[in-house]
Amino acid sequence: MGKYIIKRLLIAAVTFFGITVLVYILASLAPGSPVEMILAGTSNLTQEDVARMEAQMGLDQPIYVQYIIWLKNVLHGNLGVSYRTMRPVTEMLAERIGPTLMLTVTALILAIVIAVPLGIVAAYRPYSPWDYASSVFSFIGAAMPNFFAAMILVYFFSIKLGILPASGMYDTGTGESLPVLLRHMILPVITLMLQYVGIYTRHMRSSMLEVLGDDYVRTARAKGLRERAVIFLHAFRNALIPLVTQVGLSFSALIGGAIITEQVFSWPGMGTLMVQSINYRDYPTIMGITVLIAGFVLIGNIVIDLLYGVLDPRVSRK
Amino acid sequence: MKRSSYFRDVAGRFKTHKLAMAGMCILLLELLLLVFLPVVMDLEPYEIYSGFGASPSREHILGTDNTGRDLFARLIYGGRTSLYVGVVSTLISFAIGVPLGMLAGYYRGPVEAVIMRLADVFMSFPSMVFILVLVSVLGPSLSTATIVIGIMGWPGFARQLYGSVLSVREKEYVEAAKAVGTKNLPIMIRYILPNSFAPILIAFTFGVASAILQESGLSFLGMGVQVPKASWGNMLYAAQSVSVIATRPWMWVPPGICLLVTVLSINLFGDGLRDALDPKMKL
Repeated sequence: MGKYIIKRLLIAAVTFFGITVLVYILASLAPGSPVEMILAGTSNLTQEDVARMEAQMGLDQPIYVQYIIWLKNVLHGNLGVSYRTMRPVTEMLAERIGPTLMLTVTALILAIVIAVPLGIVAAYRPYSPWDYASSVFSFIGAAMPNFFAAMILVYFFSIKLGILPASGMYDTGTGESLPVLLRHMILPVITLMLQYVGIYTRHMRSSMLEVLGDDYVRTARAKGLRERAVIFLHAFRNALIPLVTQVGLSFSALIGGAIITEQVFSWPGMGTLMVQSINYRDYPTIMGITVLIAGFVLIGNIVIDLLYGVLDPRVSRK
Repeated sequence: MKRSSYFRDVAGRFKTHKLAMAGMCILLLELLLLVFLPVVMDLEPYEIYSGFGASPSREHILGTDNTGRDLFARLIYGGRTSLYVGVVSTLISFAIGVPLGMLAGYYRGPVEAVIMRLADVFMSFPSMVFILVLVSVLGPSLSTATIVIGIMGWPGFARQLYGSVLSVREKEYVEAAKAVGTKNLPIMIRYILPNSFAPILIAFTFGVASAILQESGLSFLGMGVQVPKASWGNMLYAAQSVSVIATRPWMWVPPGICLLVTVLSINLFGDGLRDALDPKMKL
């Protein structure tokens, strides 16, 4: 198990490194020098002023030296200063991580909690009306652009029924309390999880179907175990393995979905910050967000790998 | 003889798949409408009429947008944009992913390790974030969206092809070709590629669906297709305020439905195709 974990961690470290290189190269290809960005609007700048500033920021160094300096800073938690707000990027990200995690983690957990029983029921009675309903739902969920789903939800729940807020995390002026926050979370979380409920249900169904046909399930039934015990003690754990893979694969799409969902609901998370930063070509912030997201996705993948090891001991013994 | 019967088998299996047939019919109908409606009707997606934000009327069956452009004309031209981005960017993914997947599967060893690890990196990192970073560098436009979505889509093709090459390269006819001294490149192009036709076609279908969704998402963020050019995504972008959602549903419901129906049809078609091409390969 130890060796297995170390191997996964190494791969993650290399991946992280690769992503930072890629993002750094991309950002350095951007037109316009950072100095011009920062000093935009300042009048009577001479060529020397710009050059002095560039030297101060280390921009006269070759790109790989700049990258190494930047990476060193990143590893020390210093992501530079935003061109747009002139605040440290780390500080801005710290405010935004919470809201984004709140949405994505809740959506992910709810999707799994809803999909697992749905999938088991669908597998237990395949080709029943219930099974067909879940399959229709998952097809539509996979094809539905989440911003369109969000607009439909806003139309019915915020406008027609007027029972749920359509934007932000809190109401203006009423203070920040948990019930208010939860009410604001409902629509964005539904938007975000909709498609995953469908996908996970299908995967749970097909892996459960497969497991139910296995020899050990027949043995369990043959020795007279109750159906409930067969399903939950014998089949369930093995049927979860493909679902875990699927959950791991959906992290990246989930983040993409969160960017769009945050935009629709004016949710003050990293997605809205990303969009603002791109409009202002605020590269330190863009890179900061990218690096942070890369970090999160990698941690998520490591967790998935470890879960594999727990669910299927053969994996870690290899 | 053998060849035609293979395709007849596939077509036969496909026809029994009702949903897939429905998907195909909807797509064909949509294609016809998008191609021929502008020819038979007088559609001016860029013309600015007096009276912006108008409700549906006889002249403008879906009303006009905030600047006074006809929304029905924009819906049709937006559909052309969506399909264009979907197909062209998938072609780009194809052009990058197929050779890489082929090399990885054929040569194995370090080539395989590097390419497939890279594919893992691309797959595990949110492509939307990468796309946004690229857009910030290149500036948002139709061509940026197409190219960037295309570049990000390569791992799908590479993986499909890689899996298929792994099994095809062990076949007797490849061994025979090697035995008579055929070079690697001709083997790959003449023997392995045609026999990996099914997975590539399937990857292509789902690639188009996902590219259309990505373009619409990007345009919805205002980072994709820019006005005056129309796309379904940027039509929804223009209609995202709560007041528009509440009072002018004709601005956002039609492009949303079009997107949903198009992607759904492509997915159904792809599902049927997968079952028809390879009855063993089931989800």
